[in-house]
Amino acid sequence: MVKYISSRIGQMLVTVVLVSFFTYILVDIMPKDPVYALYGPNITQEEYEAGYRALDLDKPLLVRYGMWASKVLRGDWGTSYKHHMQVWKLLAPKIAVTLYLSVLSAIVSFAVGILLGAVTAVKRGKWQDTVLTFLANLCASLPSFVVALGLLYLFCIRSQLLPTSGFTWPWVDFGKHVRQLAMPLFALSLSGVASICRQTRSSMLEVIRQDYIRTARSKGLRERVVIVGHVMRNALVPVITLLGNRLAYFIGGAMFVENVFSIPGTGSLMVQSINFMDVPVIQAFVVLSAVVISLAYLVTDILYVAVDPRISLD
Amino acid sequence: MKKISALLLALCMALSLAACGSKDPDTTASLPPAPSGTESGAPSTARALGGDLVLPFTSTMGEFFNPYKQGNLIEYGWPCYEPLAQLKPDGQWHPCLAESWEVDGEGHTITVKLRQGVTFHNGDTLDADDLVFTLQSRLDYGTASAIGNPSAVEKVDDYTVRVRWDAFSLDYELWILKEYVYSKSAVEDNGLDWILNNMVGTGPYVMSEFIPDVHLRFTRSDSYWREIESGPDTITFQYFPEETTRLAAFLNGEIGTIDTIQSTSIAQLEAAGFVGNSEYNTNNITHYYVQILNLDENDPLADVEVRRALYLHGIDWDYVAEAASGGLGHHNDCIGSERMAYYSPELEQSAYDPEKAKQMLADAGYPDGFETVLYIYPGLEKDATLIQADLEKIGVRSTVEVVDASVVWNYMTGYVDGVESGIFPQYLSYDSSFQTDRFIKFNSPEGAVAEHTVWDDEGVALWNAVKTAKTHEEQNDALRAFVEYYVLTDCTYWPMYNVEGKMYYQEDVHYSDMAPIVGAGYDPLEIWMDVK
Amino acid sequence: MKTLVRAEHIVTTFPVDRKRRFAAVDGVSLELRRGEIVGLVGESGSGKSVTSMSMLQLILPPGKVEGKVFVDGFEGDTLAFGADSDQVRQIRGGKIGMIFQEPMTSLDPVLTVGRQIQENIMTHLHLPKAEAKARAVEMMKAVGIPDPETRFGQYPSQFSGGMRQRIMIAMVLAAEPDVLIADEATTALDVTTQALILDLIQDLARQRDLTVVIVTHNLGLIARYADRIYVMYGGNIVESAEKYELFDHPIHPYTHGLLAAVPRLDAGKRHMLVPIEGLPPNPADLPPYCKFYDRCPYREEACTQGPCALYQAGEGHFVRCALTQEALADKRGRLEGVRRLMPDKTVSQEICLEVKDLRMDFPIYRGLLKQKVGEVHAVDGISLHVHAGETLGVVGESGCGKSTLAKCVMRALKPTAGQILFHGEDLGTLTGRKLKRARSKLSMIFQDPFSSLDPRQTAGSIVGEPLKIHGLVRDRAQYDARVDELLRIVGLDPTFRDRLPREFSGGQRQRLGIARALASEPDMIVCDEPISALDVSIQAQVINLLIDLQARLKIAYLFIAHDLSVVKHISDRIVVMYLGRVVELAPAERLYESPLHPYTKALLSAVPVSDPHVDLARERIELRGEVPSVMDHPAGCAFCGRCRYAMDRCRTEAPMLRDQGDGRQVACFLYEREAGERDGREGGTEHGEA
Repeated sequence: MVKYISSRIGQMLVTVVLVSFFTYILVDIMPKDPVYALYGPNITQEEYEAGYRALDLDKPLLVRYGMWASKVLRGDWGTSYKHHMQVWKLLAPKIAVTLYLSVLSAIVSFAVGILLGAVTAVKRGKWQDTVLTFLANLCASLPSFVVALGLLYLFCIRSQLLPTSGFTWPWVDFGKHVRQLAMPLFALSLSGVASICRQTRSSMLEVIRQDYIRTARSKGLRERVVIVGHVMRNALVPVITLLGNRLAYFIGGAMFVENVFSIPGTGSLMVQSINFMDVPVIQAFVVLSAVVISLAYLVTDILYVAVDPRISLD
Repeated sequence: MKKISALLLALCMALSLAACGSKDPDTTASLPPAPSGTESGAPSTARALGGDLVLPFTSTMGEFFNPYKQGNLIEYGWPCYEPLAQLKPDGQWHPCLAESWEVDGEGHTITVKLRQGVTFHNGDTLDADDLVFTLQSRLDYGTASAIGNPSAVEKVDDYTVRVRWDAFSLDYELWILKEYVYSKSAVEDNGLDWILNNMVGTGPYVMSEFIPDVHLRFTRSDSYWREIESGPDTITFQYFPEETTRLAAFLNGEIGTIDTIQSTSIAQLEAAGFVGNSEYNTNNITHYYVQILNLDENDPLADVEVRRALYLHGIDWDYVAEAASGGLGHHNDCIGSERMAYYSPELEQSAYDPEKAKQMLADAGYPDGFETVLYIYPGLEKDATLIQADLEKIGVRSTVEVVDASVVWNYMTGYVDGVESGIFPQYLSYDSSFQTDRFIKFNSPEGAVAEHTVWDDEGVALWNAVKTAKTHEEQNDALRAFVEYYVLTDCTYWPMYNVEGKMYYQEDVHYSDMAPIVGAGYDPLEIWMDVK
Repeated sequence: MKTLVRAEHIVTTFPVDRKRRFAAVDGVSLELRRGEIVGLVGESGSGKSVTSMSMLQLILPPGKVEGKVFVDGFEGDTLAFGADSDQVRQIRGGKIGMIFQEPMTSLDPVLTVGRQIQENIMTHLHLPKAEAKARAVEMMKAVGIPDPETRFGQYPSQFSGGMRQRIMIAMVLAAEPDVLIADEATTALDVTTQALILDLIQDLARQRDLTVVIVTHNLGLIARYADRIYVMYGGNIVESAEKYELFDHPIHPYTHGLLAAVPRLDAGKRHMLVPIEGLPPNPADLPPYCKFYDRCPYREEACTQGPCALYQAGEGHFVRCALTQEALADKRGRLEGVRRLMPDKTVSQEICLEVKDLRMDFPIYRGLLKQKVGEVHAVDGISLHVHAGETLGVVGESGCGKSTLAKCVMRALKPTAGQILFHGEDLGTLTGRKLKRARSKLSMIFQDPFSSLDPRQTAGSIVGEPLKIHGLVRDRAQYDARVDELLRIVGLDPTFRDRLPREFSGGQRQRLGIARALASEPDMIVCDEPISALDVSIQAQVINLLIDLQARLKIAYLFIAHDLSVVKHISDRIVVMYLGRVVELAPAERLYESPLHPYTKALLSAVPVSDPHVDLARERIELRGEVPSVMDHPAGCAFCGRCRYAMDRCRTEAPMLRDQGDGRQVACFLYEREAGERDGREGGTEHGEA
């Protein structure tokens, strides 16, 4: 097990390095000029050249990348061109918020999705199945910001039940945290619920047909025990696969929800940074995202092994 | 399964209880949403000290040192920074950090005498070094055009500074007096990067917290150079990128004011019982207009009679204004709106008359009309369609082409080829007073569009009259004449309509008549909240 | 004996479409008494599995079960309670346990085997966890799983098929039921493993006084293990009797037909098998009168009058037939005389196919970079030969390499070493047009009639394809004529040439496969398990067809199968393989009469004969352990781990195949000294009679 995890972490690091490298190249070939971005368009040619050298743009790409990488390893992520702040100081609180929101949404949508999927699989063909599947498909087709705006309308404009915006950490004020997060979480999780519900349903339906379920029944176990103890465990493997993929989706999709509810996450910062060619911020964000998503996939792989012993560790 | 459902139910209940049970000063069970329609502005309640004012902000905040980059510091820096003098709605300059000043038209200078006994928030005393540093920074960082490109900034003595230009202008006061003064020691000791993220001013409020894209908070200063009689304890600018959220937050009582031009939001607010105020919106007029650009002498639009036919009589501008802006806009035959200083009702000369237009076209040699193109960038589809429809009725067949905004801009300023003659609807946000700068930039023989507009002698002469005016009255008259020529005679500039935003206030938030500073932010001493 | 379970008139229906339903089980009544072993015999579509599942209410909607089931210890008709009710769940597993056919998929793959056994114990015996675990370990030991404490925590994927079936038995018996139903429990296992498992079940039944129901299609198993037998056809019980009574005096035409259609290990090779005509019943399509009518050689008008009831023909002997015993006996006399003799065939001396020292290795990859860590010696030095016109049978259990051998001969795999000489040319090195020509003379019939035919090709096109490939016809007319001829040869109606494979039954598809193999006028056909996927009554038809074709067209066969009785019936000589090597080679009759290699002896003893008297008299040789995995190739003789004659020499040195005279060869040190004086030549050419 330890060997497995360490080899996967090794792969993860390779992935992150490659991602950061390719992002570096991509950012480099973008049409906007970083010197102008940093110093503004009204500079003289001398100032331009001074700026050019100051940003080390005269050195070859690989060297620049190497310098950036070595600084990062020491903890120095550079200074934002636009905000003139340490990138880490700028990004850290925002990434924490976005990740918190995304991970929480992932948990909620998985929990609810699996539950609904199980219900629809067990009640296949009956009215519960039809209604829930219809609702799931409906929710899957609603974009998150539409839902967000709808909720805003219902809970803030028509009635003043919930606050419109902001974010508080749960240890600061738990009640406020819950109130502020209720709508964004709902909006973000909704589409995830639908796809996980569908996957769970199809996976469970396939497992229910298997011989070992017949064996379980023939042992005289309660149907409920058969479903939860035998069917679910086997059906979960493909659903777990979705975990990493969904998390990536949530991190990206959180942007819309953050925008509507004015949650101080990374969404708007990223859009600005790209428009503005704020290279250090872009790099930092991409690398951090790559790390987070790779971790999610690593967790997925570990979960596989925990759930299904046939997936061996070599 | 039962156990799980029970658990879930318990969890939900616990969460709801937690949600209800927290004390939160920001949410508003206490604030009734529908006020009784008092127009705020009328100081009906006594000024008070206290309260926390939350104001919405829609674009990102950053770069708090204006000489370095032209940011929008004016919009949110006003609690903390102060100018040399404030131009208030009564039309007068009220001295602030400047005690007095003197303009020398012949010598092309302005001499400013600073007030003594004023300290910055970092303890530094305000003196001439700070003012020189501020103005010189503009020259150093290339933003000198904002103050008219002076040739020199001189320290006369510890509290006096003289600024010199090469040419005469009526705008010396305008350029210099509105400038915020920065602390030289704050910038030099801490570095450029630091000042871009922090504010050190002389105003009644000190910046206490800045989280980019989240909020900017000010608390009352205890070392202000004047007595503070009223005003909130804190002023917070909260970042709201989405209009609907802003609206919801206002209706929810979470923010103190809202400033909007969206007709849907306005409808909602009015329905909730709020009354809007357009009077003091210095920054939210949007002016929609059309520019005629032509390269080709053979194009029908090159003929002034054709242009006059189309503009003066061929299009129902009132209808276009109404339809395109959702009822919020109105048409004026001038550059900018009727709030412009030079404006006079005599300028209104257009009148919709399609028959006459067709006649004029026939006289000009186009009895069957002609073909042309409307170039727009995304967002102006509605306007283009309306114009297209009206043109159709008088025989001018047009197609609408959507191009990128940068293409239009580049074309207007002469940097692209491939776009032919045509009609270019556009819009600009106007500051209602400072129109001279804008004219120079866009609409004059010296402006950026000069290359693609044909200026005849009369136009040039009228513009010279504007430039050489010696007093404001002269300037206004000259502008009026120029505008009359440019818009109504030459007809290469077709104003479409102006949309003014409205500002709404919560019942307990008060902005006095003197709160807005024309061309700048607000005067924090003229804003207060009711305190229980 | 006490009756433990009594089922009365069980009718289980399934919907065909929205309106119609068909009865998979159409009025079955049976009785299970304490301590006996009951056999439930039938082919596919007979309803035997559905019957047992119906009694336990394992039939899920939309299937519906009607009738009554009385279980000892429970009041009233247990079918009246719901499938999920406490009473039925107590019976299911607690009173009546069931093990199923596919051990590979019948255990939950994500739970440890111990946990699954424990679950059963806790559900029915209501013991706390720790005690349940102790019992589970005990049970595992009782079924012969070595090292049960450790293996308690392992997962099903870490066990072989036979072991998994043992775990199933342990699991089911751990709940201490009174009845054990084994539904085709050994069909998927190797012959030797099958014997072990059934012996185990028999022992446990005796120890614990269990009633066992063996549901199977294999008459031999029934003959060996059952005390009382029910024969089912088309959802009905057509005959039931004590074992000896049934085999000595079978009455129902179907029972007769089965006995005559199945090849017996002890039968001579003079007569052809007597197949049952027609196709196995389609349950959706059965007539309301005697279900066997269409295939019954004794049928009469009277049989269509209506459904017939069971009548008692003797002590405990019941038959469902409209005709009387005398009428049947009378007819039989007439039909029996018509048994066909095997056709004459000539086997020439010319050698058609010769395999010399064939080796086929597969690499094993492990690790991140897929490094090769070892090799599997699927075929480990095989030499044999086939004369023109003869049938060489190849038998062996799983992992012996017979399928790999077939693939090498067909050049589907390129052998690692060795030669395959077909008419003198080495197939291993041929390429291009020469290979194509060789291939036209050597064709193949496959095991699975369902997947070996392209579902989108018509029958005619399947059969005619080789004609086109090898350019054997000149024009369309000739092509059509030949296709029709081929279809007729295999006994199919030529008008079927435009049908798609799914419109044919399993047996018919196999005939199509044979026709396809014949199309290129081969000298030799490799038959890789051609009948194991077919029903028993159909197997006889196909076997007879193959024998006829060989006699007529003088084709040689390389006949690969695991069913020893069939191989003995059809082959002239037989090769016995074990873990990639040939252990014995002998003419068919002689192999049976006096097997030499210990493995051959054990293998033959494991195959039951469908005559209880004969079977009882045979010597039973116990084999320890199971067929080892091909990857753990022991040094020395591959069989030494299980051989009761194993010597030290066997463990270190691998014996070579040595000639024993009479056309026999053996690879075993037991016979080494005798052969020592002869020329120590290995395999290859020898002189034997066919």
